[in-house]
Amino acid sequence: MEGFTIPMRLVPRAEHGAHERESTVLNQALAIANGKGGVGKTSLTANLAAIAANSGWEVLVVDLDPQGNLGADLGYQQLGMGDDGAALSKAVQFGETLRPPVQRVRPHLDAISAGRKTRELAQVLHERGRADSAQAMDAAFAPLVDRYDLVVFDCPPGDASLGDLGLALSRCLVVPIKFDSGSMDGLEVMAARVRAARTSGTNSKLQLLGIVLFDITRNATALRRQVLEELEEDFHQGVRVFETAIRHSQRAAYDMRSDGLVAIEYEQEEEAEREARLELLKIDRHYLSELGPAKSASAQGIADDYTSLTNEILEAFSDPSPIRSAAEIARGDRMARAGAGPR
Amino acid sequence: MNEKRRIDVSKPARRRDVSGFGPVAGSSDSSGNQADGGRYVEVTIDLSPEDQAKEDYRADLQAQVREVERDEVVAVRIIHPDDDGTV
Repeated sequence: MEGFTIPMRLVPRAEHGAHERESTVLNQALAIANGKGGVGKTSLTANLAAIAANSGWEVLVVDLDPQGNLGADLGYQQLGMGDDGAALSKAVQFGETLRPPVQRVRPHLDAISAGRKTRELAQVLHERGRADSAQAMDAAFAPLVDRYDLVVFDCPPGDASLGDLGLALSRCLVVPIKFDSGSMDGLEVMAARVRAARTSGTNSKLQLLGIVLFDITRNATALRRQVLEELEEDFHQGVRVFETAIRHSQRAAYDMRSDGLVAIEYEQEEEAEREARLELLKIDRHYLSELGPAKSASAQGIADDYTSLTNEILEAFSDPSPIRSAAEIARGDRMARAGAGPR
Repeated sequence: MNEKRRIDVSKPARRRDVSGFGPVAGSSDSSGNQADGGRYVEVTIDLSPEDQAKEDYRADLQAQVREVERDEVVAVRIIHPDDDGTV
């Protein structure tokens, strides 16, 4: 990923106090969750973490989903580097020292993996209760605090007790949604869980940082407007909707997870493959079949989307106070259409 | 037997309850929304003894209240510049 940078960096720790801890909350921790599955939270976690790490941040990703898809997205599952959630499970259940089992899956990026053991942990957590589980989680992560600039929790939609572990330690929450009523309804589920985290005292400071529009068809402008209007109606106190949406590409989504590549890596592979195809065409087009199916032509666009979105999220994470409402985003869309014409 | 049965498949629009995301207790966001659910408008006034100034202030305040009422404002808090008197 040489030569790839994002221009913005989190406020340096000395100025920001990023490692000061307030009760159980880690100031550098961000949870990504939705009450419904299949809305892009794991893809978002992998790409956000990889892009930040690629720019020099020390990043830890924590997979709390027993499906362990984060391992596929980052490629460590394919390499057999995960531990099925054993490290986290032992740390939370028995107080063992938590060491990320996946070290340097990319430069500056470590991971705590999930799997079969995470599912077992969920059953234990049900018995222990929310406050006790949060306390155990806090103790497990305490020794890791000084090592990372950013900790990203990938929270599962199904099991509230596991997801709540991520919410218990995070300062902010990002919720990805697709343009379907199911994922919009997932917001309602998350709102209830945020309320529960605050009122139970496990994390009274948890804030919704914003909503990401995920897997969006570029020309679905009317639908986008409708969704923004619905969000505006639901959040009458205002909500930040990140301006960069992640575009739809089934091919790219399939390839990236199969190959364990994040978007900025997939883009480079696609470019190299395109050049190889052109070379082969010069020789004999029959060789083309040896390259297999072509990668998505949207590779560059998706990499740009994730990069731009990462900038937005990290900028907001550094200063979560300004709110740009869904209505303002919709107005911006209308002005862009009126001023710049179709893109 | 041939009677047609009408089935009403219309579904009333449902507003999602996302109030759990509301501001963290003790904080307020950039638009002045308070964590306790109320929204306040802070108006700094100069209580001049002159009647005209009072009238100007009253008209100005009423205009602001009308403006914010459309956003379901529940209270208006008036802060005097010289003290913290809340009306």
